[in-house]
This record gives sequence, structure tokens and C-alpha cells, in this order.
Amino acid sequence: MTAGPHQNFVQGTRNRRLRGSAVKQALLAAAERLLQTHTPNDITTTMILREAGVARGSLYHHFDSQAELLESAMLLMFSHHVTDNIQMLDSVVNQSRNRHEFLAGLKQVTQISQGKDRRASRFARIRLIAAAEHNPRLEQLLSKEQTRLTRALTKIIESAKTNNWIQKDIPSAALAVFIQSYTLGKVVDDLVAKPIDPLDWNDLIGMFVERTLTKSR
Amino acid sequence: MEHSPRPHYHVAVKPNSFALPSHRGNRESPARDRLIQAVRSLLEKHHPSQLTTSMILKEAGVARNTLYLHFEDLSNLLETVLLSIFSKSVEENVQAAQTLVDGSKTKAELLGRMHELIADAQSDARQVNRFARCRLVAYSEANPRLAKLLAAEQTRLTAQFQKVFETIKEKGWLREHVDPAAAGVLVQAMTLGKVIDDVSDKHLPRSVWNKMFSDVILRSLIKD
Repeated sequence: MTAGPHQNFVQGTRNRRLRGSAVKQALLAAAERLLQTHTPNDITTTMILREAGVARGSLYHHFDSQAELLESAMLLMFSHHVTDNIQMLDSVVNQSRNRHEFLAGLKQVTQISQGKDRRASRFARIRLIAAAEHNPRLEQLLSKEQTRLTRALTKIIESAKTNNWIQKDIPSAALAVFIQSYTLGKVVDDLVAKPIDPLDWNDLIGMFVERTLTKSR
Repeated sequence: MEHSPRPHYHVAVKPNSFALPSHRGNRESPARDRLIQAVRSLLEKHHPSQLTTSMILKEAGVARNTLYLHFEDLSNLLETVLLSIFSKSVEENVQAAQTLVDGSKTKAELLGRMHELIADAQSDARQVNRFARCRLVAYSEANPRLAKLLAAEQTRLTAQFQKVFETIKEKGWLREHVDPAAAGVLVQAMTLGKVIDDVSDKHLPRSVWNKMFSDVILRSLIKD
């Protein structure tokens, strides 16, 4: 969360100190680590404090509540994962010398970003969307972050287009949303006892990339 | 930015000592149906976390004890309803797809009518369903009872989508190397994933999204 001039709005009586932002970072990092292995409901204040090595009082200097800390950590976790994916794509576009290399790079990104170990990140994103539905503060933060990510992805797509690696008649913003959609939507397969073969999924995405996105058929 | 209440990550439940799972009543009872119907209509105006037992009992015209005859607790009733709303909407889509595939004599016929189906399944009106599905996934994380119900339901739905693509394969229209089960997951993933657009500041024009969706099916899954 960025500290803006309206920060004190959240609760007039509680002043957040600018100093000690290292403590705030430690709390966020601890909560983010715990979220990798626990669901938000299982995480207690004591667990976060112990993980961060921070005193109880400090938590309330920086966050209104434990819930607010967890929200911020979930949002951070979500941003980190999507930013990772976007950076991978960015380097694929920047480092590929031809269409062939671009396709090979995309295939690698697909394997990583759609993989089984991203299950936690898919759930975290779904959790955020569900929690934001009745939490205006979180809804606003999420929408801002989502817009930032879609914009970053749109820019990468635009630059792939200048190389003629993506068909120009596909709207960049729509494609940016679409790529995120199936990446998140794969959560439907995380729910079941017998998930599909990851190779079949990667083949399917590869087919989409080759047949729908890129030039020269 | 106003101060908002602390979030509930799952449906708020009051612990209830009367709940005895082994004493649940007949699944086909009118009181059970009335409770489900009451929750359905309340959910049109309220978020699940806002519903109280009293609200539901009043709406259903059912006594408190009757509720606990049929459901372990309030949470169990809400889960049952949310799950049925979710699966009903997905089932409508998959059945429409199956009917379309079964009734198409040529590939051209299938593709020609597919657009209507996509437009309906992806409509703004379905936004509620996308959020309902997210909510279920999120709740199920901390609720093993719901996770089990959801897994069974999701398995059933994916199998139905798989069958649609198997039928397309039997008719010789499916692209080689496309796995029918993976294709079934992909269309569901794309449908649920549209929630990304729902939570964004700016929304994509509907026609742009639908074109993207049908292009994927047309070019990636179906033979030329």
C-alpha cells in the first residue's frame, strides 16, 4: 500500500507512523509467507508476530486490524505472482530474435504460469475477488491493481505486435484480460480429485497461441 | 475511502449446539424446499454474510427447529443454495452446448449457432454467477464440508463438458491432439476468468470478449 495524503482518512484517531516502515514490511512479508501454507482463517495474530519477530503493539501502528494486514498481504502476493508472469513475458518479447524463439519462450512461460505450484496463487486471487465483493476498501485496491497489471500486459502485447508476432487485428487489451482469465480460471481444475494432465493443458494453450495469436498459419 | 467492516472470509456462522448431522430429515420435504427457496430470493438482494437465521425463517415461514432438522447449521443451508445456484447455471450452459452439438448435422451448422450460445453464457447477467463461483471456491478453502461438495459438483460438470467435446470428436470436427477433458476445463476457465474484467476499472466491450472466446474455440479446438 502506498502512503498517500488521505491515509489518515481510514481512521482519524489512529496515526500511522512513517518511520518504522521496515516493521511494516516485515509484517507484510511474514503474512505473505504464512499465506503460502495457510488459509487466511488459519492465520492468527500471534503467528504473524512470531514469524515477523515484531511486537504486538507495532502491528496496530501500521494496520487498523489483523484483517487489514492480511488483505494487504493477499494483495501483495497476488501482485507478485502476476508481476512475475508479466516480467517473464516481457523478457520473452525483448529477447526473442524471431517468431520461432518467441513461440518457444511463450511455451516456457505457459508451463510455469499455469503449473500446479501456482495453485496457491490462483486461490489467493479468487479469495481476494470474493473478499472484495463486500469490502469497498479492498475492492478499490484490487481494481486499481488489476488495472495496473492489465495495462502492463497490454503494453507487452503491443510490443510483440510491432514485431508481427501477434496478429494486429486482435485487440491488445482484450487479449491481456483473456490471458489472465484462463490462467485464473484454471482453478476449476484445482478443485477436483482427478485434475487433467498438465501436458494436455499446455498443448491446448500452445494451440491457442499458435492458431489464434500469432501470424502466418 | 471510508472505513469498512472487517472482512469475513467465510459465511458467518453461529455455533449451534442443536445441530446433529445424523438427525437430518427427508431430502424431499416441502419445508426443506421452502428454506432453499427463501435463501434463493434473499440472495437476490443480500450478500450471503448478511443473511441471518431469523431472516430466512421469516421468509420461509418455517420454525427454527425445522431448519436444524434439515441442515446442520445456517452455513450448511447457505452452502447448499450457493452450490445449487452455481451448478444450475453451469449446467444450463453445458446442456445447451450438448444439444447444439447433437443437433448439428454439419460443422458449419455448429459454428453458425455457437455464437448465440457464447453470447448468453458470457453475458453481463452472468456476472452474479461468476462471483458466486469465486465465493464458493474461496469459502471451500477453509471449509472441508463445502470443499467436498464442490469437488463432486465440479467433477460432474467437467465430465459433462468433456462429453460435449467427445461428441464433437466423434463427429470428426475436433482438432487432432485436443484432449476433450482439457478442452472442457478451458471453456470453464475462460468463463469463470471473465471475473478479471468484472473487477477492473474499465470493462471490455462485450462483443470484443465474445469474439475472442469464439475465435479460441473456432481456431484452436475445431478443425479448419
